[in-house]
This record gives sequence, C-alpha cells and structure tokens, in this order.
Amino acid sequence: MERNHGRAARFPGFDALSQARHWDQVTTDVVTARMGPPPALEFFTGPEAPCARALLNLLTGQDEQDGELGVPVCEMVDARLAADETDGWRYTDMPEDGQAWRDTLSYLDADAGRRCGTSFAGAPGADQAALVQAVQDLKSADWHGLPAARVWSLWTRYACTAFYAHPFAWTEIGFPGPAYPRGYKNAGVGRLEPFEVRDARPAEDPVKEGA
Amino acid sequence: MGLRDGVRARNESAWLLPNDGTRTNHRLRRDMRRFADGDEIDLVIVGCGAGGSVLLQRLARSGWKVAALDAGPFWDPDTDWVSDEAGSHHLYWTDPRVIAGADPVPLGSNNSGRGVGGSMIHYAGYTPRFHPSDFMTRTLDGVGADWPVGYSELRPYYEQIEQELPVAGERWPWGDPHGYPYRPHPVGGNGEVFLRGADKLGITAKVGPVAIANGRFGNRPHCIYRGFCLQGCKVNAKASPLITHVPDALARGAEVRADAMVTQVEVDERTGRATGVHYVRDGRERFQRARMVAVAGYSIETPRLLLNSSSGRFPGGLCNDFDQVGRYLMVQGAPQTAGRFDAEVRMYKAPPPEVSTEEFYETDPARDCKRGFSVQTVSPLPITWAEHVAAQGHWGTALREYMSDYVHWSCLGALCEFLPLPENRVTLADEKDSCGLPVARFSYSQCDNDRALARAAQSVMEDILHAAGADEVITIQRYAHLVGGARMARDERHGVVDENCRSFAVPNLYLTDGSVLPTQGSANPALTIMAVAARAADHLIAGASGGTT
Repeated sequence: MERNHGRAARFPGFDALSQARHWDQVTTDVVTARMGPPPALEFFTGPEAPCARALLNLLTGQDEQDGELGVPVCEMVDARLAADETDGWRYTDMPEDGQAWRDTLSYLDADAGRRCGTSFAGAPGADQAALVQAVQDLKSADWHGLPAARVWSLWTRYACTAFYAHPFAWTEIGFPGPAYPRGYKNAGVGRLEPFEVRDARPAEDPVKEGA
Repeated sequence: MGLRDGVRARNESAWLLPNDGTRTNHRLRRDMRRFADGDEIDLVIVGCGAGGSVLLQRLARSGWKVAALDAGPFWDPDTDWVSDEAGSHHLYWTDPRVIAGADPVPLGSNNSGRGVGGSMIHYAGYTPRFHPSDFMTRTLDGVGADWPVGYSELRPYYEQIEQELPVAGERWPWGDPHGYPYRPHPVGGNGEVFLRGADKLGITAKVGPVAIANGRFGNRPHCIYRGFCLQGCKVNAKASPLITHVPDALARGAEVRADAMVTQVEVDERTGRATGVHYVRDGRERFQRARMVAVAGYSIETPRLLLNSSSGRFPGGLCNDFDQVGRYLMVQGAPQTAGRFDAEVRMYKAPPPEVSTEEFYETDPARDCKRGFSVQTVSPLPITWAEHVAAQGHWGTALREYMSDYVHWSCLGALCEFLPLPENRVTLADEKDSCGLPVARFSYSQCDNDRALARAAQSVMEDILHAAGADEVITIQRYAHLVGGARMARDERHGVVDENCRSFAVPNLYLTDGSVLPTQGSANPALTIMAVAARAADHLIAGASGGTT
C-alpha cells in the first residue's frame, strides 16, 4: 500500500478549519482550544506517560518519526482522565477508567520487558505493534486478570474520541466540522456544498482492499 | 392555523421562546416562582425530562403548586451547547454506574441524559407511537407482559403530544394508522439510500416521524439540517421538554429547580404517605415538603432512588415489598449496519433521524422468534463512526484509512424488541457517589429470542443496503434506549405502579417516566413516555386520588 494512501490527499485542498469564521463563538472556543499548544500531562505520571503516548499514537496511526503534523491524543486523553470525565459506566470486572488506564499501561510495559527487555515506549515499532495486536487477539480471554476485549474497548474508545475530535482528522476524512449557525443546503447523494471537496479517489474502498 | 391555535391555547411554550435569534427566554427564568423548602407544595417532581416536564406543565396549567427538581443544569442552548461531538459530553449522565451480566449495557452517551430536558436533549428526535400490539404481547405472543392500560386509552395523549412537539412525517401506515401535524422533511443522502434500497426490495419505508417542525413553529425556527441533533439542538428546531413544556410550565407558576440532586423520598412511618424529598444543592442537604411526590428519573435513577429510600416500613427499598423495583429493565437491541457506495453519501448533512420502516415490527410466523424490529437511518458523526469502524477490528493506519472513506458510507440502525426479563435489573452497588449514596448496578443478559431478532434485523439492513447498491456492509452490535425498571401492572405482585402511574405501596407517590413501561416495542420511547405522563397528569387533575385517599 503506497504511503499517504487515504490521507490528506484524498480531499485535495479541503481544510475543515477554513470554515471556522462561520462557526458560532461557543463552538469556536471549544474547537480552537484543541489547536493550541497541548497542556502538560497531569494524569499520567512516571513511566505511564511515555507508555500512554506510544500506545495512543500507535492506535491512531500517528508515527512521530515521519514529521507528520499530529493530533496530541495523549494530552487529550490525559486531560479527560485528569478531569474524571468518564463515559458514565464501568464494567463490573474492570476498575474505574482512570485506574484501568494506569493498570493496563503497567501491564503493557511488563509485556514489553518480557519480549524486548525494554519499556513499551522503548521497544521497536514492530514489537510495539505485535504487543498491542496480541491484546486484541485475546478477544474476551484474560490479559493480566482483565478481559482483554474490555481493555481493548477502553483504549480504542478514548483514542478515537480524542483523535476524531480534532480538526486535522476532520480534514483528513472530508468532514467540515461544526455547522452552526450555517447548516447545510445541498444534502443528497453526490451533492456538495461550495466549501466541500469531492473525494479524489472515490473507487478506492479500503474495505475491499483490506479484505 | 386551527391546529396551531389549538396547541397554543393549551401549551404556549413555542410562543414564549425569543424570536430574535437567541434561544432562551431569560426573563421567564428570572421571574420564575420559587417555593421555600418549608412550603408544602402540591407536588414535587424528581427529574425534569420527558415524563417530569409534561407532568409539570399539565399540573401548573391546572393551578397546582408544583416544582420539578433536576440534578443537572438549566440549559441555555446558546451558551451551553456546541456544534461538536466531543464538546457535548456534559449532556450525558456520567456519574459512576456499574454494568454487569452476560451482555452488559453501556450507559452515558448512549441512553442517559443530564439536566432540564433529560435525554431528549440528545435523542435523535424520532417519535413513533407504540403499536396496539405492544400493550398486550403476553396475550398475543406469549412473551413480555400485558399493560394494565390499552393503546386506545393512550391514543388521545399521543395525538396531543404529537401536536405539541410537533411531529413531522408521512402518513403512517403501521400500527394504528395515523397522520402527522407537519409534512415530512426533505431527505439527505442517507435517507435517499434507505428509500432506494427499500423500494427495490418492495419494503415500505416512510419519511419520519421526527419531532422537528417542518417550518416555523411559534418562535421556533426551521431546522437548518446541520446533523448535530444528538449534540443538543442549538436551533430550537428539534423538540425537547426544555422548549416544548418547560416554558409554559414556568409561565403558569411552576418552579424548575436545577442542580438539585434528590437523594431520598421521605415517607411518614405512621401514615405511610410520602411527605417530600431530601435533596442536595450547592453542597447543602435540604428537604422540600410536598403533598404528593412524583419520581421521573428514568430507568436507572428512578429504581436507584427508590432503593436508596429504604426505611423501617420499607427495609428493602421504597415500594419494594414484592421485589419488583429495578426489574424488567429493557434495552432495545440496536445493531447498526453501514454500506459503502462509490458515490458520496455524506450522511452528516441532515438530521440523523430521517426515514424508518416498521414493516418488521410485529411477530412474523416465518421468523424463529416473537415480536420484531424497526429500521431507521442513524447517520453517525465521526467519533461515533470511528467506534463502528474500530468494532471491525481496525486500528492504527488501517483505522485511519477506513475512516478517510467516511463520506461514502450510509448507515442504518435497527431497534429490536428485546424482551423484559426479571433478572435484567438495577440493584445497588457497593461503591458510593459524591453524595455518599450507593450507585446503580445494572445487570443485563439477552435471551435466545433477543439474539434471533438482532440477527434478523441485521440481515434486513444488509439486504436494503445491498439493494441500494452498496458493495460492502459492516455491522456493529449495540443497544439503544432504556425503559422499565419500575413497571406498571395490575397488582403489586407484578409491578410497582398501577395504570395511572400511582405506586401500589404509597398512595401519594407516582412514577411518571420510562421506568413504568412494561414492554418497549420497536419504537423510540420518548413520545410514549410523554403520553403516559400526560395521561397520569389528567388522572391527578381529575382528582381521582388528589392526595386525599
């Protein structure tokens, strides 16, 4: 698969932020706060911080080495956990979210130690991917005393919620973001607003390719 | 015109909102009547959502001294809500809760609202009626339960509420066939795909029913089709009690006391009657006296409050003499199936609620299960869509690539009538919330009939999307809505309240929310919850009990 496939080039020239002048002020404040310099980590401490950063960047396909303009997923998740902004429930066989994050990061470091003799963050990229894939492959089986599928759900839920809250991600998928007070005038299959950009490669269905 | 004048004469809410581009009548709130804790008001309502707000408005109109206490804020759409998914997290009830059972049900954003307006602040806006069969599934199909009240007794209340929200949609051919006060909305890409696929298969699908006026309604503006219905309607176009019932209630002398978390219903040990509610506001414990109490905290918090209101007379929880509180809590199976098209659907460019079919609502002898399901457009925004894609197992670069395909996908959701089971229930957990009260533990497990329905629904959605031209389909298993947990029944051995929502155990205690529903059908519950509350209000106004029995 060629580099950059499915990335920004899919909607040439589209930029969700270019429409920010049409957003209402309250929404603008909330969204632009995500664009500023990320706050210092508050929740993740000690070895948790590099581990969380490596895991969250891996889950959201962000390679820090390639110089790509990234979404600060680690800081966004950290801020949520520091504010105890949970989803409003926990499974009976899982700790509450904050503790579950701390526990599972330490288990990930332990797995990395066994496999590579390093921390998770210090492990080579391929090993990090293999360690994470191993957790997913366990499905509902046990991982360090926790149901792996629920650990996986915790990680991906927080990661996706943070990543797809960011205008960079909206630009990547052709989504214009906030739409108040303007709304839309051209709904319907194949119809675009003047500010939307057509997909340059509409027939490239990742589902078919991946199958 | 006649219709609108008729609505205005009995519920002026839409005309009490500002027409200057802002969304909140601040003067109405500032001048709101405020009762003292020591006043014995006629009725105190716990929870200001679908059920509580309708009851509040009806009784205020009849001159009752009535106040609704809500744990959350008194929302202002202009300043409190955003046109953004992640920024809408505060609309959900996110206090701690524990989920358990073989098939645990996630809560929070999926089904639990916070603040004045309740879950209807972030519901999609679908407002179908229940079918007549939903009120007698035990008799007709040998499953579920019969209600102590029938469809025909609820029908006038359905009609009233449909006018007050108001509801837009095509003439509805299913259940008890009926029309809607407003014409159907134009559809976006997702609705277009659904209609095309259904048409190819000979499945009848209809536009609606949605509680979004197609046109202006009072001072509420026309919908702008921005797709953020689930994030709270900043336009005031989508109905919620915050704009459909609360303004009229305030104008008629009701109080809405926001940020007031009720912790216990007080019952006099000698008389056996409710005397008011304990609540916490601004960190202070207070007590509101009242001649009658109505609890409308929805299917998790209503049973939890009853269980947390134990006393000498009710050691196992208020109204729980026969171990009925918390039981028969239902969720609908809501598999969500998406289809991929080379054309751009851009499903975010319209309200998520557009088109539905109830063709599969009733028991079909050709299926290996009882009862049925409905299918509706759902149109998830990026974060929710990422959950759908991640559920296929994708992560990292693969997830990003699948997600970049967002504009090509159309998404349908089913509502499957999962059956009410006694072991699906709320109990109290060991852990405590910030008020020191035990939190709810919700245990849920599916039965074989449930699983068969979800499979059948997925297969119908896949067929519709393929017929519309989709080359790939992907499904995520999920749940939608909550009802039950303190159901109505003919007697106290089978439920918590009677057909008028009055508790069997305490003569001046009512439950007026979704928790009283004995079955759920395949319909979104908001309209039925409001109709049941409106009917209970008429019963109270008629003085059938009047707190004097």
